[in-house]
Amino acid sequence: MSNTLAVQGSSATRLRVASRVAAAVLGGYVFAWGTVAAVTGLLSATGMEFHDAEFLGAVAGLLAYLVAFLCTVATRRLAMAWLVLLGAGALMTAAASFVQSLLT
Amino acid sequence: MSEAALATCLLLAAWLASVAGMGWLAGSMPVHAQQVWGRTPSSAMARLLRWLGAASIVAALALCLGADHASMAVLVWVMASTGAALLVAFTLAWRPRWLRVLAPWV
Amino acid sequence: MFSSFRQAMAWLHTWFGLVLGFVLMAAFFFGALSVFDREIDRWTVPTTRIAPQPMPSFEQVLRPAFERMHPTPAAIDAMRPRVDGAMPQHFDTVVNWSAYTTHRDPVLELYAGYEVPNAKDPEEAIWAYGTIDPRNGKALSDDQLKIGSGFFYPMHYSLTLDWKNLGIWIVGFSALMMLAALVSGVIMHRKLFREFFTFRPGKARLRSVLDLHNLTGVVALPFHFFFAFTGLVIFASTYYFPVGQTQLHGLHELHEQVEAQETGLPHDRAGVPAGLASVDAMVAEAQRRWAADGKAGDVGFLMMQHVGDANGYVSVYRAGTDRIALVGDGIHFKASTGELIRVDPPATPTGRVSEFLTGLHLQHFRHWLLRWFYMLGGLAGAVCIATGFVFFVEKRKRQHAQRGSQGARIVDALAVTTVTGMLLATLGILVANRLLPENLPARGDWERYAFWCIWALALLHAAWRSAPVAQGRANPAWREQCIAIATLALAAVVLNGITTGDYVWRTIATGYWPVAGIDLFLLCSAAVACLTARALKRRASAAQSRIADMGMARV
Repeated sequence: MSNTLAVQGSSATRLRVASRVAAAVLGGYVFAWGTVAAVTGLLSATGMEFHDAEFLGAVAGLLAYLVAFLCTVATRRLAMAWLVLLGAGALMTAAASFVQSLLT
Repeated sequence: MSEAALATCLLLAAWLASVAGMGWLAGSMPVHAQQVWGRTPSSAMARLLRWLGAASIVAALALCLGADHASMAVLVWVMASTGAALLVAFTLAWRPRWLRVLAPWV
Repeated sequence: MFSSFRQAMAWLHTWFGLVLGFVLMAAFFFGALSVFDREIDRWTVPTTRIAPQPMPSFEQVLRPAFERMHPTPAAIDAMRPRVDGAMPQHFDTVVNWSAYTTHRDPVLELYAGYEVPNAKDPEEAIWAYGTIDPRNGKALSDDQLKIGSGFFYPMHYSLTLDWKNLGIWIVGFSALMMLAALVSGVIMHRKLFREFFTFRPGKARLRSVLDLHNLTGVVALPFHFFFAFTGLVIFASTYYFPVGQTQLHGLHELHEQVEAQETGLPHDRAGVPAGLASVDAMVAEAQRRWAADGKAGDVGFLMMQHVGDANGYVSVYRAGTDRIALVGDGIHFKASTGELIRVDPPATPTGRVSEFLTGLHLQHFRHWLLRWFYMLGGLAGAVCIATGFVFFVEKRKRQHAQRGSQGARIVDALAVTTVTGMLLATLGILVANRLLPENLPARGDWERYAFWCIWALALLHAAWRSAPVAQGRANPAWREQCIAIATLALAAVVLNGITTGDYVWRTIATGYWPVAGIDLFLLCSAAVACLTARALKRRASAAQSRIADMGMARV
């Protein structure tokens, strides 16, 4: 693991590692934000108190970030990971804003 | 007995139950039994120790619940188990024979 | 890139653990110290070595103290960019006065928020903070740095890097990586249960270090997981995912309006001046109601909203001393008449979970055993991270030595700095606190400089002594800094006795545990540091003779 990386520390490997880490950190954050917003928005829409919804949204988002991070580090298909994280994150964010526009 | 003194006694008992429970659990594992007694106990004895250990840790939870509000008791219980496991691990590392006191019949 | 999931997890554990371990070490260690932040405050501000006090009388003590408060020039300067036009120098409209105390606080923290005319965000208030002696209302000087709650505690969650909340983000990301390291660690660990109690100090260095790493990680796994997780939850909606202030601001506003309607607690000022009825009477009424509910208790949080306005109200919250929640059971009164507006209903199930998760981390309850267990958990985390560093270095240093690489040497020097260096800096600030003249201007800043300078010196020392690592041997800085730790810890205890008269035997005899406890802890640390230094010395001379033997054999 670490040794293989150190040995084949060519620039192509470095780039692959950087892309993977970026996907896990940034893509993961977008995905987590989407989860927080969607859970907060949807639970508010069902009539839950806003701060309760916000709390559950934060819990869900943090766990989503953790799972997304681990899966992205391990995945074989990195491009797919980027696509899923950014796509799903954007979709959930948009859904939350849509719910808000209906309620306010 | 005052309420504070009772709570202290319950917590002390809970802590002892955690240590004994972790000690019994360790004793039920062949590697540690070897360290404690210099031989591996029979599988029936190992099973007994495992049950004693589990029961003792559950008893510790009951004692914690008796001492504090439930929200606090679970935390005390989890942390007491952690502390007890560390204590047992260090005892096994340096003074394994001391754990014989938990099961003089073995 | 990886041939298996387990290999990916091992890569993640190794490299993210290494890079962020330095931050996590500080978060765990200063978190463990923050368990006793109020006690450290007493040690470092000797004028406050008095017994904890309940919330004092509002009319006699709090009101005059609140009326004396004013934002500091620094706070006014910080506010300037967020104001259109000229910055007012006086703030007369009080949005909010509040006071918070726990069963461990002999001094009382006061907070006052004022309306800022022309503020770009009309909701934004400017804040003033004060600390008073609750027995007489006398203000305590701001120059006295409360090293426990004002330095070690912020170190724990923000590394005191306040610029753009950078520190909070770094610690937050490290906490997320802590969770990832726990999950990946469990996946890598093939014998989680079989080696649950295993620590073999007599085996080879690499094995015994890994045993200790696994033991402290696995046994305290619930502690590590829940503290990293709840730490993130506490800051999530304010800093990490502020959806309520940004994307879903509309929903948040809607909720606040509905809430103001439902609770009858006015969201805005009426603009009509009004007097203030007896707050002490309101507090007495709140306590009577708690007692009638079978939850007799002290006041933890007292707040006045829209002070001096007809819409003003007073909220009295019960201290959560006997349960996990910080405060609760709020009772609200109309400020001008003292009539009851509302009694908060019991928390929703989600609210109770939230109270539990944040309360278990912030721990303002009364439970000394649990406090010590938390300290143990925090130190177990620190040991887990430190042994992780040592394992990383031990595993690679021979290889690196053969290849002429400096990797292991650099990591080892940084590990010395983060483990023993951090202890030295911590002890250094305590010693500086006792040595600096009592009325030195900006004394707190000098204490902070002492902390960072000593830490920097520890880094230089570790780097300067690190050459043997590049040859596959141990860095003598570990042992030397252990000796320095023992010396500084003893010096702190002695200096405390000399400068305040509170010698350790005297505080034990009078049962003043906040200071006696810290002195005893320092003495124990000194003893442990001495034993460690001795063990390291034995190990170094054993290695020396082994090398000498090998040299002989070759000849």
